[in-house]
Amino acid sequence: MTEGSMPDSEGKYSILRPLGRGGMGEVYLALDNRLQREVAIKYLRTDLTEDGDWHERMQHEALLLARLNHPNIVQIYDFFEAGEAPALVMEYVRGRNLRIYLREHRAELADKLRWLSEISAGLAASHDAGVVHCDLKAENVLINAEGSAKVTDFGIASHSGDRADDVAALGVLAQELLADNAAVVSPTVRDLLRRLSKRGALTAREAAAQWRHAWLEQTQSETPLPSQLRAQQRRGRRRATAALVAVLVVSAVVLAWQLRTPAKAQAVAILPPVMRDPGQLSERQQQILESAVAQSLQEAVLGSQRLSLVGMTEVDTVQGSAAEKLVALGADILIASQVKCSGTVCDLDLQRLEKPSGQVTSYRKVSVIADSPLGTHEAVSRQWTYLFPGQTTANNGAGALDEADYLKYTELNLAAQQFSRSSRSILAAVESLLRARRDFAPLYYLYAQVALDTYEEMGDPMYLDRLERTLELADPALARSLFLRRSRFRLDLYRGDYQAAREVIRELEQEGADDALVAYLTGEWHGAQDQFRAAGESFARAAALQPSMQYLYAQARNQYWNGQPDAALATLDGLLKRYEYNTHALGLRAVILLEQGKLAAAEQALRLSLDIQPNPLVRANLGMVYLLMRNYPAAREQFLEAYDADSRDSVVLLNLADTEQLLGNVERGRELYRQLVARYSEGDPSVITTVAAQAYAQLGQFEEAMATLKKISLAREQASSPAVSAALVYTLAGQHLVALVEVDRALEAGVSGVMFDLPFFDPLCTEVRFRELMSEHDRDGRCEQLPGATATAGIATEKR
Amino acid sequence: MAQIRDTDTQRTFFLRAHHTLGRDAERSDTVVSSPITSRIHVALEWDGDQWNARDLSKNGTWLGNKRLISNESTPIARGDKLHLGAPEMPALEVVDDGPPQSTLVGLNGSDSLELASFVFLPDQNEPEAVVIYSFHRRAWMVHPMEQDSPQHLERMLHHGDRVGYGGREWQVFLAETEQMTEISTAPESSLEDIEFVFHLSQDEENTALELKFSGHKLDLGERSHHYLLLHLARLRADQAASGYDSLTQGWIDNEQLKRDLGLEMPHINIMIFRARKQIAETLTTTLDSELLVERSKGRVRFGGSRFRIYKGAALTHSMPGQQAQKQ
Repeated sequence: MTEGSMPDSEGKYSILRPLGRGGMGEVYLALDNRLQREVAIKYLRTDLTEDGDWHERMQHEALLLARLNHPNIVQIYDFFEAGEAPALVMEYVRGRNLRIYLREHRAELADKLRWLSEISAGLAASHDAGVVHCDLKAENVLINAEGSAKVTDFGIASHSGDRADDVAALGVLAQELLADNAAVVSPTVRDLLRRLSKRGALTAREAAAQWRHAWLEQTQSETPLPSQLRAQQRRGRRRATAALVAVLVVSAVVLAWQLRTPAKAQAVAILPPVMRDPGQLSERQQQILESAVAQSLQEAVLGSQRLSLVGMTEVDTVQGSAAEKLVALGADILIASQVKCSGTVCDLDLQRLEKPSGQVTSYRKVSVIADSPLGTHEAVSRQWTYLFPGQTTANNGAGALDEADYLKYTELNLAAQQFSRSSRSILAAVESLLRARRDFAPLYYLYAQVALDTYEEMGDPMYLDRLERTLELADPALARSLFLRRSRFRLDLYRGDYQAAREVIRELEQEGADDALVAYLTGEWHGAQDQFRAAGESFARAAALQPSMQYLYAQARNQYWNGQPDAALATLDGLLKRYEYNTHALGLRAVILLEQGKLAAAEQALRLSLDIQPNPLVRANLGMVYLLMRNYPAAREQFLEAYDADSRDSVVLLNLADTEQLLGNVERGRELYRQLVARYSEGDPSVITTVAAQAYAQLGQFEEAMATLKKISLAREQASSPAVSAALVYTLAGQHLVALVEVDRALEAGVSGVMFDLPFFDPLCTEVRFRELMSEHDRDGRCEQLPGATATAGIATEKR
Repeated sequence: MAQIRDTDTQRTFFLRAHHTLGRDAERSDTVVSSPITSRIHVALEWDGDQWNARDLSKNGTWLGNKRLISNESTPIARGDKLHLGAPEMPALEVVDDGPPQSTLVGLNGSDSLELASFVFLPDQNEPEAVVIYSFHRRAWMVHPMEQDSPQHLERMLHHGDRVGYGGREWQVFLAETEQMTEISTAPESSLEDIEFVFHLSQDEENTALELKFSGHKLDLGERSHHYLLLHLARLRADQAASGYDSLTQGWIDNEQLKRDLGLEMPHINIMIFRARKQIAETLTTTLDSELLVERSKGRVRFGGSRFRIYKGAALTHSMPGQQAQKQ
């Protein structure tokens, strides 16, 4: 083929270059001369066109397909005769087929599930249009530059098939795609695969809905960021008091007996193991090996008397040279490890790096076998005396375990870190392991971590009860370990048992625990009781003593709650300078920016956070930003995803309802408000008071709305966010003067005028005071645009 | 047959139609392990006319001293040198830019063989197994000669598998990484399109075979394996004449066949494969020759249903049934 116009296409298209050679024929990149856009032209094999029947069928299907317009189908634009053979003009998709994509990239399970839902959606659309694919496989799915799947080469196979064949092929494709993830797919997915293998059990549309569900389930993370802060809402304080007691985000480590951490313990950071040569190890084997090495090292630190462990969240995100890391982490010693494998036998290099320059003061090399995490654990533990001569480390009960249990534990740890399983399932699995292995300390640790984090997100006291029962199983010596005591502390705060919590702090102080830790815990204790100034002092002290991620974040958050958003932003900037990818800090920063009306900056911060780790809470906040930017479709998209991920979240539901209203889907909005109100009146603890109040008001049930508002405690009337909700309720109820009081209060407290720049507040435009306030805050656009608005002060126009 | 040479280690490797190079031992076709190489660093692809390189890495790929644009295809040809990760890295040189070719790569001094249907292993003369592309399974299969029912021992060849026969060993190199479309690999002709015309000498020592196919006559000469086909065809015609239907006519037990021919099973299998090879290679269109001799649970039969057998000048058998005419 030569470049230039193909005479057969009558000058409509100019061939630019070949794109490849598929089984069907040659594909070329071409230019549509009239529309000036790039297209792909596929010239079909001439030998296949001898069968006259087939040729006609092809034409017929091309016509059907051309009418199809679906994001997951490669669009057909045109069809012409190029001499003997037909040629198809199609959408040019930048990207390769799925088979090649998989050969070139490591695809996440979530991506694979999303592709499956996209492919089935495309299939469903084509079935609806009367076209059957007949040859669905990875080579016929293209992945475009945005990472979405598009199905191509429809209806071109020589035999005619029926829809069930397509669905069966989808099942086969899914099996292939998910083969590597077989260990971690959820029961939903397994069940779906089973059903797909039964011919005729599912239609393409049903499969699409199921895959979408599986995908959203996968991206849901129940072990969330502690910052659950929202623009229009602050969570019921009882929940969000967020005692971030846990230093280690996941790696479960434990002490067999009480730890005396002298005020001058040496801080040790365990760097994530580096895989220099994976040998023949699969991705999963590598993860398990790396996890086993890291765990063992961490356990050894915590089991020793004179060492304290620097938290994993910090360690995971810090960058730079060894010397820089030592400074950023506030550590005295780094332990670095490298793994080189040949086959499944690996050489593990361990290095101890010291302040200030990061020089290597100790070096050990040991062989481990990839398939034996317990063996790895033992091998690593044996090296400890060489890395830290003269120091002993506690036995954590691992001696009683066997390989299978240790592996199960390692996998659960990994699952918690990667959010690849729901909290409920992790807790259930740990409980069952504990029944057999009551003495294995790390299990308690993992359990406490997951249970507390989940409580913080869900607000369901069930998690606290379960944790308490599980802690009862522990040997008293075990229960006195530092970590479990800190978990107990958190539990007490969540329950509001401040005296018990104070006791824990006092005990730790007496035992000579690290000063920064004591200061931090004291800060949390004050914060739980809304004593923000006292809390601020404690956190400042903790951060000064040890500028760790956790302490700095606690300080920033407290400043925010104390009504000092600019101070909070400054603290967060300091934190982000040290720990660039800290999603907690990014999230809080976005919320503050949002409240200050800096929408573009908030959007950027939230998108960055989502790139680092997709999280439904962050998504909901992003939705809020779009809402305020008046980009309702984008807002809806984000809220829908957040809602799909966690449909119990009342704030998201409210936001979604509001967005539907703003989009004009009034009935849909009302349906969602009704759901909220129903749950609230049934006593569902996850529906926050302010949400309920707004929902009632939107439904026109003003008495209930105002009664609900009154339930918010007096102390919180000083805070800004409830004022916004109250303002809305009163506005909807027609009580403009009271509403204005709330608007005033909110604006005084520093809430940005952008919060009131919503259609819901339009009725207030009749009030002079409102217009004045909006003008002061540069938000007078809305009122000016309304029909019937007058510029004359004091003249009330028609009430809406 | 496309080949790249690592100028650092001097090892060479063949290229697959889509070939990845990188640090990831499990997923790259060729492992290049250095700290600055990405897990999958660069992909080399054959587009039907030429080879192209596409950079997928973090640190970059250089063609000569020019850095490739990320994820964009650039043609490469013989003599070109690629540097992974940095321009001063040892070059990977393209020593051959021919099309990718599936091959049985010789190990331990054995010669390499191009992978094609009817390649006999270890060689033509004393075959212990034969490699054939199976259309309906869309895969390469290797059939050992030994057993009564080779079906049971036949196995699919995967890229990287090792195969050994007759003291020689090969590693399977499959150039194609994608599953081909059903259409492109479906055979173009079927057995029904062919009429087999056998000429048996009076003393039954020599059998000549001709094929009549879409208006052409193809002379296959005289071969020892033609007698086997004829023997089976004859039996089929006889049974058809006795009233057996098309599903049941022509089957003969392997044991009986061995006795009839005075041969052991491996030898019989060799003849069957030679027959398939000859016919498949003589036709200009592709044919799924698996059906030439049908096999089932310890028995076989002739798969063709259109044939004529002449002994000397006389027509002795034909299908579909025609009057035998003395000439």
